[in-house]
Amino acid sequence: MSGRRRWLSRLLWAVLVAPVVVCLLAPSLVIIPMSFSRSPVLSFPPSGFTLDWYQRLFTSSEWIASARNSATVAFAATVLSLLLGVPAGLALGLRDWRSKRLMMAFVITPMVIPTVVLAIGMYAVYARLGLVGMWGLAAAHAVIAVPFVVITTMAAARQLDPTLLLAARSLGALPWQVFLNVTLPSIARGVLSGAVFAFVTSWDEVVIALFLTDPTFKTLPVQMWNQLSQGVDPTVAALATTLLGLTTLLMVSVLATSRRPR
Amino acid sequence: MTLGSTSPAGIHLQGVRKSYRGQPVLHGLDLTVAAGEFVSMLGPSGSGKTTTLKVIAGFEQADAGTVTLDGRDMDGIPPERRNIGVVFQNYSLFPHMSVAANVGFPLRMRKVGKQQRQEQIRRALSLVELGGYEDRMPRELSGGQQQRVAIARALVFEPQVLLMDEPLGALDRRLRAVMQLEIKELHERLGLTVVYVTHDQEEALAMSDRIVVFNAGRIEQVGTPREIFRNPATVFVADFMGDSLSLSGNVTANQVQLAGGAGEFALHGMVVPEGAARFLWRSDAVRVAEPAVLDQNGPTLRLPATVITSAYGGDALRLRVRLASGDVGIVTVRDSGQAPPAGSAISVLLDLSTAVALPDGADRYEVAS
Amino acid sequence: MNTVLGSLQGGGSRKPRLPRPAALGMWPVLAVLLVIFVWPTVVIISRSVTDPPGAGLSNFHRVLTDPTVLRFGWNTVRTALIVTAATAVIGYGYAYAIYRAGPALRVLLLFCALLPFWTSLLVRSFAWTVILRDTGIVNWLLLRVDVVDHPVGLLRTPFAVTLGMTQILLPFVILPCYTAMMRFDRDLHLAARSLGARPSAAFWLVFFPVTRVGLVAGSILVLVLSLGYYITPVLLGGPGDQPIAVLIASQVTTQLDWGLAGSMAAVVTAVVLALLALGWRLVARAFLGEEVR
Repeated sequence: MSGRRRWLSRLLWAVLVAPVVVCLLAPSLVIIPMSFSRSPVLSFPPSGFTLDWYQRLFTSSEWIASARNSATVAFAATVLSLLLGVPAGLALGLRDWRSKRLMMAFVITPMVIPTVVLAIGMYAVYARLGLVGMWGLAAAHAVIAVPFVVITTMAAARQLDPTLLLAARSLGALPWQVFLNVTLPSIARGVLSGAVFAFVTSWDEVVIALFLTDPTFKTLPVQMWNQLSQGVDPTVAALATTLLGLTTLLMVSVLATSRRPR
Repeated sequence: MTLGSTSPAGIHLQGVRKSYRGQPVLHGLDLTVAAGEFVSMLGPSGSGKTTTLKVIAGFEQADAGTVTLDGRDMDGIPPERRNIGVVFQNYSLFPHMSVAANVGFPLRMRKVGKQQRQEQIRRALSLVELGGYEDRMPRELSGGQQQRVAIARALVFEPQVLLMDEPLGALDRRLRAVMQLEIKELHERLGLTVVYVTHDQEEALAMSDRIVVFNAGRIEQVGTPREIFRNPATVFVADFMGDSLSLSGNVTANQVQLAGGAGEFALHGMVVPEGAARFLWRSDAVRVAEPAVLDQNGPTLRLPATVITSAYGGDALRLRVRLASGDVGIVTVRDSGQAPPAGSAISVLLDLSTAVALPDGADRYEVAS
Repeated sequence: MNTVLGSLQGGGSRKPRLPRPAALGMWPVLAVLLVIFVWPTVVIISRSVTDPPGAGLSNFHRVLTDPTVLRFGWNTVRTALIVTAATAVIGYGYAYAIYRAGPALRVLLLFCALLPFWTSLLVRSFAWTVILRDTGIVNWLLLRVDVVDHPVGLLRTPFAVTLGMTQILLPFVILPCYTAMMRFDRDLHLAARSLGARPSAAFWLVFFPVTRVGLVAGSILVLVLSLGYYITPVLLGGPGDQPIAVLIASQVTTQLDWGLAGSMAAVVTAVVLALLALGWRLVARAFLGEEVR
């Protein structure tokens, strides 16, 4: 009797969960076949098989240039947010001090302020600061990437037993030796995942980039956005599939390395 | 109605087996707990005592065997219909409910009216001396207070049986001693059946009518605390119940050859089957004397020994000693103001009439001494 | 040294005080954010009262009365509320499914929840346009099984916006709910059962209230984020379904009305920050692992 009821409840769950899984995966999966379709309009079902769109993507100087721009900006934004975020994450994670929670809230706010508000503000101000082109966008992306680095570093630092640092000192290590040999290895994984988040955030960002870039310096999302508003061709699907492949690869490698025995 | 007015129920387990992922944890368990009895299940972690408790509570289904409560077969009866109170190791108070709501929860489940519910909550809380704590949240209470709330919650619906899973494991030593007596007093006052899981042999000795010693999914011995302590049936039980000193040797006729050719002595009327055996004394049954060679005066053995180390324990001194036979054990002596230094030679006086003879292998003797 | 360690452990305070300004590491990020984050935000918000010169509160008056602003505002709030409700129900249920699944299925379901998290927002929004267009897979299926005889207009509707945003924001609810469930002490469930609660009562009276923190924190985040959404509504919605973010952008780029843009930005930012302040305790606990008492 209980076996049958369990079977029924499992069936019920499957019926409820399956559509959610489909909805979660469908957008990621449906563009893959489209990118190989011969048809120049993105209609389902795909007809025939071709690699033309990929060829077009990888030989287009415009796409290549914007990908290179995106990578440059994302790299710069990641370095910048690490330089700012790691010390902050350590300060927040290792010790208790007055008004710490307020500081935490402040550092997190760029994540939740609508990007449009950030974008027009930066659009109005950055030129005056001399922050234009690559550097302007990198600075802007660092603003929204810093919270990720702070959060992941803080989480890792919190795991660190403070007496460990004192133990290292008692064993004869100088403060900088403690930092290099104890603190840094302990938080390395958190910093790394913060860096990955920061990179992906910048790589993916459209709204601010739309405001801070110009036709001479476009990032990949901006190029894609322009393409989408001009009328879509399957090159975008080929690009989307490529990006999807890259992120899946990234995600699997992160999951594989971060698996901890519990 | 007053608390504890329902008659307690007996528990009967027969041939209970349980495996997790092909790994057997209970190998055909037989156990009877009489109505109103306080029984402790004692054993190291992973020995099956908590699994047994979960089977009784209905949290786990046995793969085979029967569980009866008050003569009723419990097969297929879910925990909420067994009317068994359970106290968990980490209290398991509902963190989002006040003390009163926690204690009132089982009454709410039984659709007890609000008026009567409040009355019963009040009475249950005063039983554990927590009157006036109704509106506190669990996190505002100390560990000991949380445990009392958990007990009140498990008693308020007047269960026939109370199961306690290492309920004092998270408390410090002093508080444990206090709570042990309180729980025992509650048991005596309410007269319900209590099954108490612990890995602390002192706790089991102090509280129980009977102790069930578990080892590797089997029951090693069942008996009163005194029986278990003084007459352990197996080497495992003997070791688990506390400090001891034992001699290993080979029994032939009425003689015992000590291991390592360290000498021999006469059994002097003690009946022990032939073969490898261990003679075990509880640490407090051993006396210590000036060094001497092995000799025997009636049932009393005098054996040379070397002190390895000593530990001061207030009124007594624990000595870790090595005997000439190579056996290492612990003896307890009255503190005389000075501990013998490590390496010093002493002799131990062992009275055969207080010894427990055990087979020096896996099997137990059918006839204990 | 032993005494130092001993006194620290016995001192009760888990975090020892070190003889260095503890907040030193915060200074660089504070200084830089002040220039590249706070200043721009303050500038744009101050435009609401300075543009045109001597504007005073007139821009805010427009925000509250202008029918265009109100229509875009209503679109934003309506979509945000529906998306928040949908992600709350679906996300909690999905997290529960992960929680109850066996080890292998659990990894698979988690992967499905995380994949969108990692996929570009633009790519996902674009993918929805491919799915929902008249020649997309949904209409193809509907035509194949003869439910309809000509394509149903799904794209450029409020439904498309809601669907897309729900899918994109779902992980923000799933993950904190799942974390809260993994922290749930199974003994609480057993305790409830032994005290007489049937499985459904144990779920609603114990499991749900205890794991609700993750749901509330995730929902606050979804609400806050969906109030500022831009990309997805533009790609999936029709001209009448656009949110306030789009109006703010167009005021700057086409109307050059910085005053109105600034006042709308001020209102949205204020709402977002107020919501976050209300739920900060829960959000900090769920996302930052911070115990705030």
